[in-house]
Amino acid sequence: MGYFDANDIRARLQGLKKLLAGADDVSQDMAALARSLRERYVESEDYPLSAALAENLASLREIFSGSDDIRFREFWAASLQLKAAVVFLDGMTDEKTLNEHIIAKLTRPRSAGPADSQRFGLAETVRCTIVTAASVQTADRMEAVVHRILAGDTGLFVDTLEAAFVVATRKVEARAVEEPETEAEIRGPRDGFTEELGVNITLIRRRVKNPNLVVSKRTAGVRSQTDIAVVYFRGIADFKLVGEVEKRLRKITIDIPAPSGIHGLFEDSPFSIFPTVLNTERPDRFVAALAEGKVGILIDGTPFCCIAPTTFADFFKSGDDYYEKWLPAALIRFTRYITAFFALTMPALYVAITSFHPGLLPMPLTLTVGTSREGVPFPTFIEAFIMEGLLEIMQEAGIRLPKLIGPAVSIVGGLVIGEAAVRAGLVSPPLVIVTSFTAIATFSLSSYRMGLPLRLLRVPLMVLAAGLGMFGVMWGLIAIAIHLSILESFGEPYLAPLTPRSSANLSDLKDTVGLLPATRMSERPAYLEPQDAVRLKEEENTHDDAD
Amino acid sequence: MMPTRWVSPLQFMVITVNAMVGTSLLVLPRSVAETAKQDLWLAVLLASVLIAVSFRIAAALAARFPGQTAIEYHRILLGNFLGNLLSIAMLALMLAVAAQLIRISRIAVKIFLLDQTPSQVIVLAFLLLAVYAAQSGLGPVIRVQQFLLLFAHSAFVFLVLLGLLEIETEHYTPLLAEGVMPVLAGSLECWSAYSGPELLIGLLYPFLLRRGSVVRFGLAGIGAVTVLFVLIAGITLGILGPEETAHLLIPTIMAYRAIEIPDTFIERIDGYLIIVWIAVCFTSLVNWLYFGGFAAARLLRLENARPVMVLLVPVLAYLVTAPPDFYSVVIVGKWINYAGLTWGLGVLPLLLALAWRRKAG
Repeated sequence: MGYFDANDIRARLQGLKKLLAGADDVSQDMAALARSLRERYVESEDYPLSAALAENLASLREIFSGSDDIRFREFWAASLQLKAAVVFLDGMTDEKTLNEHIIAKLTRPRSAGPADSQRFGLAETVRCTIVTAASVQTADRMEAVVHRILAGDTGLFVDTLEAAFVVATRKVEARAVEEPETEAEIRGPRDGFTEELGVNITLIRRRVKNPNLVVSKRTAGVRSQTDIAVVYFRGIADFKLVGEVEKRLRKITIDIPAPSGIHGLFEDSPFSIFPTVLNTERPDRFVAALAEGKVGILIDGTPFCCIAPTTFADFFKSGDDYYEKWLPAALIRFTRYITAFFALTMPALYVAITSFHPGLLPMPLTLTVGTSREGVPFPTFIEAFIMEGLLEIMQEAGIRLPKLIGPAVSIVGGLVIGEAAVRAGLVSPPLVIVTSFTAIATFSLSSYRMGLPLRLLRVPLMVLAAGLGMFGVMWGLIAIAIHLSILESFGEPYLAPLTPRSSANLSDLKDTVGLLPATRMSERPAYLEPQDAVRLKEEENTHDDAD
Repeated sequence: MMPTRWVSPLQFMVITVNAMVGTSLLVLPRSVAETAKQDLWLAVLLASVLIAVSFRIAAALAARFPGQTAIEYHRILLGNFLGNLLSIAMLALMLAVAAQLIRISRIAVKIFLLDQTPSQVIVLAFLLLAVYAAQSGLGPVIRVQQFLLLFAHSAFVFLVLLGLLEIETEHYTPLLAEGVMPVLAGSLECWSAYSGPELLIGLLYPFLLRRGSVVRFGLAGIGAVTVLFVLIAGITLGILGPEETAHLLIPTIMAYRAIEIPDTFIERIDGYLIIVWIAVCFTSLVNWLYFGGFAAARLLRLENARPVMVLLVPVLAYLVTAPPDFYSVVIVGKWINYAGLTWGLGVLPLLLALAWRRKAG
């Protein structure tokens, strides 16, 4: 009896499962339907073109309804004895090309007659024998055509053809290539990326004449269709890394990304305050990163490109390091680490030492600090906290102010807050020195993005210093060290070259905290697992030595 | 939990170094000076040979079971009950080492940095940091050690070397005045200072890369630590002399208090030494907590060691407060030393012999 019962239950369960699966299908269908309804304005144009010119133009008018910068120009193509039309965006199209190479050619009757069109077919005749622009492609779906028109190309529609021609006529006003302002270098090249993707790719191509420099384009943003280019060296970059970058870019589903902040959509640990993607405006730095085996990402609309993976040590490098003799460069780079350390800890150290361990300083110094603090009404922590707040406000004001009234900030900040606060006895002079040193130390970091977490972490460190003295400061620093060692960037540990994976990776340390002469850094960073590890071929090396 | 990452020999060396360098930096000279007197640096040197032998034995034993950790091959060699009992003993030893580490750092921090802060705060602060790192898995645990090794340990060694300025050579003489025996006895006293690699290799072996060079790297780590220990013990002895070294609570710091170059920051070197030492001590603690939790999870046949590591925190916090005063801490230290010695030179060779016989038979 029990046997039949079990069978019965099994059958019922299977039925239930089927029902559930069916319900699942239905709900998926409903979700798809709802999505397609919601995205009516997003992908509405994904359908084949019609053979009738009027019909195509009508749908285009509907797609672009409400926009006045779209131009439709219909004409009689005498060379084909057919009606034709061009569709383009006003202001993004090179009208000279449009006039001379498309409209003029089509409207002029041809002496050759219809022989060509019998030989090639209509589409090929237009593409190969009539239109004389450099790049003419055919498209048979409305979406592709619309996308290209929006990018500044011209859509050419000919009656009776079930396809359209996309003629490259893009011509947009771009900012001139200028020296990047946020990444100043003394001996580096003077060109910087612009907001125009095409220009940026040129800046890279013109540095490296190698077919293995791969530039693969894609779009991100369902609505904005922002152009993105993934750039890497085939044969150097680890293909796993390239795959990872492309996978992450494919996953971006936001509708309109902000180009300068697009890295926030694919970087690791979005909650961490440390940047795990390096942004640079310098093509030379970009190419240097590619040559190490990294992958670069260029985004249309911003001069800041992304480099993946990025490690902690990358933020302390500067192009100048490689353009100078190695020893001064190595010392300068080491100084940057020291500077970063003090930018992070200086106020906390001051608080800890003055309020917990005055014995850590030599006696005369302790006395000097002690006497200058006489009459100051606040405890050190409150005093340091106020100064830190003022410093942050002044930094922000300095950035936001129009350049013309910028000097006003320095007058008010330097004279009033520094000098007057000390004279009034509100702040002790040593603290003013500490605060200004901290500010300058932050400015001297080569990366603005690395400066931000350091600025932010100063305050918790000060709180720890006020509570637990030097033990608290050390505690905070170790906690930061743990956090850094947890972080990863595109599969690579964030502390990668500083914490070599194995003894084979020890050579990476040659270019991290310090630096060796260029001829002695013959390997690419091993932590990136490049396909070709050697950068300086051995024969050339010995040849140099023989010279 | 299986550590997902393979550990390279270099990383194993870092773990070895950090596990060994703990509180022994502070108290090592005292326990040895009691027996070896002016030859204490010789005793410290000799002890490194003992640990190297023990490590070699542990490595040979682990190599017989390439796919299993110590917890599993204890079961294979001794049967389930005895094997588990042995593993529990090992775990207890590891936890005792960790607790002793925190207790001594609590004392040191309280004396030299925070004399009015409740000592529980210090203990919890240490444990919180260690559990934060251990929670994140083996990769971050190793990386944070490597990172601190690069910055904190190098600063520490620099500060230690400054001690050479103040040593007085007459403290080292007469050499071997009472024969070799005190040196031998003293070297047994500093076993727990070196203890670490012989325990950890049993747990780490299945996750090691390039096993052929692991012993070499482990021995290199022991060698590096030996240099550091001999330096510290020798400098402390050279500054304080054998009697004072034997009677001071934390002789190393007191010795560095004596160093002074007027009108420079080198007036207060002891303070800086203890501050940097906090990081050094942390790297040791994080190893003991991580591998303690790992061993416990293996013992309980759990896949995920993370909750075990969190559960170890209250256990450790209790163990830390268990000895009522400093005197009992010293006694506990001696017991841990003997237990470690028994494990390293008694149990491990026995297990190796068993493994040999098992293969032969």
